[in-house]
Amino acid sequence: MAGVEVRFEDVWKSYGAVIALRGVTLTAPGGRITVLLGPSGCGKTTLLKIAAGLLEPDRGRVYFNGVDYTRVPAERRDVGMVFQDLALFPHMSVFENVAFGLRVRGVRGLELERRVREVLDLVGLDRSFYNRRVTELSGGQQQRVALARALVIEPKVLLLDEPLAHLDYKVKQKLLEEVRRIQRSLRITTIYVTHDQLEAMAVGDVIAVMRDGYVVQVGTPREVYENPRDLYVASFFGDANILDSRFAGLNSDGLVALRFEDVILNPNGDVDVVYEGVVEDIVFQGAFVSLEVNVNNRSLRLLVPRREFVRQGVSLGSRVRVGWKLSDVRGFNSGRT
Amino acid sequence: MVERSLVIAVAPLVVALLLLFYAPNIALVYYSFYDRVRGVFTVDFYLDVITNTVYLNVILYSLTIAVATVLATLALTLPVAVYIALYSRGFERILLLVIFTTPFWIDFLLRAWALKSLLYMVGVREGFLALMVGMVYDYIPFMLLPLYASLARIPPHIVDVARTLGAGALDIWARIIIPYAVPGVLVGSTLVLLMSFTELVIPSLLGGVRGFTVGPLIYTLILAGDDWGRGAALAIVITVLSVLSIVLAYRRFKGWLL
Repeated sequence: MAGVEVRFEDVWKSYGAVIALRGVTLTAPGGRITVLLGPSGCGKTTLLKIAAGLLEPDRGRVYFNGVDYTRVPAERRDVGMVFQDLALFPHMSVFENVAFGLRVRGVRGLELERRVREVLDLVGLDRSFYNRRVTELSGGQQQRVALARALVIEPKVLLLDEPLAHLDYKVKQKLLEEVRRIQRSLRITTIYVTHDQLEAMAVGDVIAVMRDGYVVQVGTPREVYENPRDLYVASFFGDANILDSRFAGLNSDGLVALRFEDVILNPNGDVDVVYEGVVEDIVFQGAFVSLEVNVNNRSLRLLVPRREFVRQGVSLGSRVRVGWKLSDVRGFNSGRT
Repeated sequence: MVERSLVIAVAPLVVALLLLFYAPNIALVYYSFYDRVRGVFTVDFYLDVITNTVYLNVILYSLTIAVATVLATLALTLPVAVYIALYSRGFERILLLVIFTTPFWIDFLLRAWALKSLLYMVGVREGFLALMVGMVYDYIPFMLLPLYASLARIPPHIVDVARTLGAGALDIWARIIIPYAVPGVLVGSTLVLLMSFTELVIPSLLGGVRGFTVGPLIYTLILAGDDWGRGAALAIVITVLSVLSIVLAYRRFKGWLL
């Protein structure tokens, strides 16, 4: 099973005077994870709810494997959805939460029990949880219940709305891995909404960067990271210095982007542009150290591997050289390098 | 410190209840057993009340009206409460709550008289219909507000999630709305049942000859007939009946309470 392809065609949606979506056309390929990435208010949750059938678009169509699903109500779409607040049924046990979708489909008895057990095994919740109230569980466990509840109906499409937003870093990392593992083993088409670029890179096969109701750019994480379409994408997906084009070394006007890690500290040849500057800020981030260097009253951010930072013995106020290759400078519109 | 200030703050209410509620009720118990004419204690008044078919019929009739009032207010307010709790938000929600409760900012006697005039205008005279209209109208907020309070506890997105899981309208009512509504139904029904069972004003004003329920009966016995013994005994029988039915109802639905 290759998974159902979800296609949005020129989808518009407004709430009163507020326009949430302005003609979104996007394909979420079958069996893959497509991430909708953008700041709050960019329309990503609205698009997800339209995929779920919980909202109807004002204009435009939604297709599941080429079949027009625009007017199919949520209860007949076979989608599994996990909301940001999880929305578990507080008046039911873990087992009953997961069984809900099967019960309303008329599944009973041994088959019901088997399918609930299978999916709880899949998300890593054993028998001791079945009769617990969902309100007694930790955030990560509740997350697993919500995922199991969505998966038990064997949905055509899995829709995840910032499912890990409220979790601690470690739990989040673990669950991100598990979401990937489960998604791969079931080969289920997944649309994953988040505002967190690290989460997006960790789970996304395809990233759709959204802004103000538009999809700005679509591609694999690497494509989008290495070839952002504009300054917005460059600074939202990954971090970048936004520089004057001539300062960056190009023979044109306008602004360009230069990734923090593409700026090299005290380069030995192999760069096209070199400046001198003074280290003004050092932020230790673990594997990397983030430096701020003042070059002719312009501020440049660098991301240096920790070992390199230690080897060079740089400290606050040090005079350093910084440089980069012109091929790493991202220009936009006609100025693309 | 907090406890001490609480004791002081609670005291006025306790004293008022003792003087104005418990003392008169203890007096009522006393009257129900004491025969002033013969000057002896007796259970005759109770025997009279529970064996006299006239009284029993009035009690049964009042109970029927009270139960009908509970069912009618429930049927009328449940959809409204669901709409307000699940589908309205912000200003709309406040506006709806105000719209459905403002009539009750007017004094209930005035309301009953006004309703009587209105019903006359459309040709409805005192009788069973007018009585029921008055009862239902009067008790709507006592059902609506507890129902709304219960349903407002339904977390956001729960209905949306249920829909994505394949739940149709019936499933959502049966598996989400009703379980959440049960505590509100119990509280609302208790309030409406107790108050409508012994309601005095509406049966008297709107019921005509069909308005002879236990409220007016006790009123007549004690104030018109000067029969304190039977009046008190009847009042206590009604109270015991009410408390019993509530206890039974709560026992029956205990497992349903969230």
